[in-house]
Amino acid sequence: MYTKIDNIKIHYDFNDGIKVNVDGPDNLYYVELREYPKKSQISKLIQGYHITSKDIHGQKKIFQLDIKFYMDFEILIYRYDSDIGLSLIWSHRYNDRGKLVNFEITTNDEDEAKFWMSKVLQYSKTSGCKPIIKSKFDNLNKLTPNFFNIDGVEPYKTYKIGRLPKSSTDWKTVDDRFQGVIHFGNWKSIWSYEHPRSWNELNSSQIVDDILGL
Amino acid sequence: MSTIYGIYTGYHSQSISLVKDGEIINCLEEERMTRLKAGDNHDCLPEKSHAKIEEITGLKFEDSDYRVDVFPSHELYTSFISNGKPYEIISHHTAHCAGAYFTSGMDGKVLTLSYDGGGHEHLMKIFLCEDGKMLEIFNLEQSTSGSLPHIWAFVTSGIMGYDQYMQGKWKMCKDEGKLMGMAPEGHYDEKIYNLLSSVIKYENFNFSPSATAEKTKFIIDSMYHDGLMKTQKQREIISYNLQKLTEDLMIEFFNDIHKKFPEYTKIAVAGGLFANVKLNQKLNELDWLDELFVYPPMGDEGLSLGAALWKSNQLGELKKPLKLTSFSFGPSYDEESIYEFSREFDFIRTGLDYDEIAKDIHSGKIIGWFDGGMEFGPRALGNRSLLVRPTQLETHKVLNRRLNRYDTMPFAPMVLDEHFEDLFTTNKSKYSAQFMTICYSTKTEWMDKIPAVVQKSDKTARPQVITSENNPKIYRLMKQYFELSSIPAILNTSFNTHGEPIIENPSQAFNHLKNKVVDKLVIGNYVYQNR
Repeated sequence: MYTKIDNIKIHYDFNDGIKVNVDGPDNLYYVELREYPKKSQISKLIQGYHITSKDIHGQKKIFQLDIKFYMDFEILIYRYDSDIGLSLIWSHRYNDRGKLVNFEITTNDEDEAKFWMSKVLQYSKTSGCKPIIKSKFDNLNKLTPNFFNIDGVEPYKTYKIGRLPKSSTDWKTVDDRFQGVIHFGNWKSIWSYEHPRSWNELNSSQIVDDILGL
Repeated sequence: MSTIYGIYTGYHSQSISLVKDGEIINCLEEERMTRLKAGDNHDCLPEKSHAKIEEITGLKFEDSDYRVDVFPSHELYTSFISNGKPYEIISHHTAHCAGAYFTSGMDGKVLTLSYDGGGHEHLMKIFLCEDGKMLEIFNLEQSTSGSLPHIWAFVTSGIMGYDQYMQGKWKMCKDEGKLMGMAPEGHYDEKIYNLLSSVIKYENFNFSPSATAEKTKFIIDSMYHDGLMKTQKQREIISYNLQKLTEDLMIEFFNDIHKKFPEYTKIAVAGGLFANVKLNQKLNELDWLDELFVYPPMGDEGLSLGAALWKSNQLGELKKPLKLTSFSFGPSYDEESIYEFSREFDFIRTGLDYDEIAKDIHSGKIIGWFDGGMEFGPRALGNRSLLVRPTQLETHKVLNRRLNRYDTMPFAPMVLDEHFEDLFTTNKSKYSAQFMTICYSTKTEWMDKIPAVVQKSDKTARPQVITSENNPKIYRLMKQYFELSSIPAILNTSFNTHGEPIIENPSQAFNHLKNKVVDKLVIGNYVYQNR
């Protein structure tokens, strides 16, 4: 997806984590991702850094964060104004109401897939999104209200519901100190949503609840 | 009565401290043992300092009565050296504030405040303190608030440009003092001031917006691409306006504190921001403030001591703030061991003659001075110091050349207590001035007499008050020098060369003598010189 503000084109994609890039005349654009904790109107910093659409040595071209579960987040993009400094040019708060949202269910257990689908429908009822549900069980897929071909249509968001190999989710092996307060805004320690944690220790219900923020 | 180890294992400036029966026994920062400055060696563990203190005291970490860690913590390490014994972890800013309050020497009502780039969840805490009790009344959350120290960190990192790996040529957590040192050479520039203030604002006890670090990096990189940091003059202007912004916001904040808590006119501070001696001067000059105390190990290195003091207070063993004569809680060496170190070298050794050393200083020699325990905190305070006459402007160049340094900051003077008011315009907060943490304005008649220790543009100096109690040997030397020169001040800079932490042991001092960094070395009760 993209949006245009004057001569600045902002691309954003929430299907594989969160990705943002900006085409525009400025050298740099600052992108910030913030989260609104449940029942709070004050957002917390998750991550912020600047990107470029030009070939500037050492500068990133894409803002991205590998968050694939539900989060009430807001993206803010600033440009540098040589007179006033930071100048907000665009903000977008996550809102999938009325939008196509892709739910990829990954399990070999048909009962679990069925259970997760019910949870997806519960989520979509609350959020108002139009769910596209995919699992390896076609008989189940056909039972979902929006089972139709969306090839070529970009969903607003993709949620992947399933388990990952333990090695890739065992965050406790990561030394907190290498994430750093300064470089990463300390998002791990301030995260209001209880993720990530070892999915292998969660039951079916906990997994889907965590991913969809139910 | 208890033995308490405090430990800090966080991102930088790791340290370990030992408090026994309410008294500070030892404190040691890891950089002094690794010989790599904290800013060059993030994410190490206090292994060597821990081993050194155990060696000095004979008290194993796990055999102490209490062990107190500080967030952010490397719990695996603390758990490992605790050897299965329980330990507790306290808040980063509680440790900062406990360190400041319990070494402030202040009686009565004291407001204690910490502010830094963030250690764990918070950027700041405020405690109301009285009779040895600390009551937390305020904090700034890291995820929703702005950080002045983060602006300093990222302007420092970017102001000299970047290397091929896009690492700042200057380093955060290390070179902020150099940036501050440039400020007096700049001037107010509304545009630059506004650019910087777009990253942080203050209003009604809140610094905002959050993500100061990231936003500062964006602004600084943009200014860099706009060519606003090409020349030294441009950098000085940025530095000036950053210093001014910092002072403006903090003065407004302090005045708000005063409005809310008017009965608190004594303030103790800690945290990296208060390494800024120019800011401390402005705060100290606030009319309503009776006394400012800046915790000498104000950065994260001071957290281990703060934690141990906090625990000692909780146990009822430390009942009120300590008034200290020094912060020399590091390793010390007796005459015998010094002699053993000296045997590796071929020096002339004579007994210490104060008159002779005073004459050497008067004639322009650079004297290495190594005596007693090593200082804890960023300043050399007469135990691991270089002493030079303050009377010659060119001393700055001479010392920089000899030490292979590029310092823009003026060097600092030691001043005889009884002459402090002769040289400087205010007499407030003299206790803190024993630890060289506040700048003062130099009186006009002294500016030209001690040019090597006075900032040439704003005429400030960062004095260390020397009394016969806090450092009797230096006091005696300075009296001799005063008799010769009528100057009650001596230039004191840290005993180290460029990129090196302050020296710790006699061998390092002897090497600097051998390499002719110093002309003579006073160590213990002897003077050493090259043949």
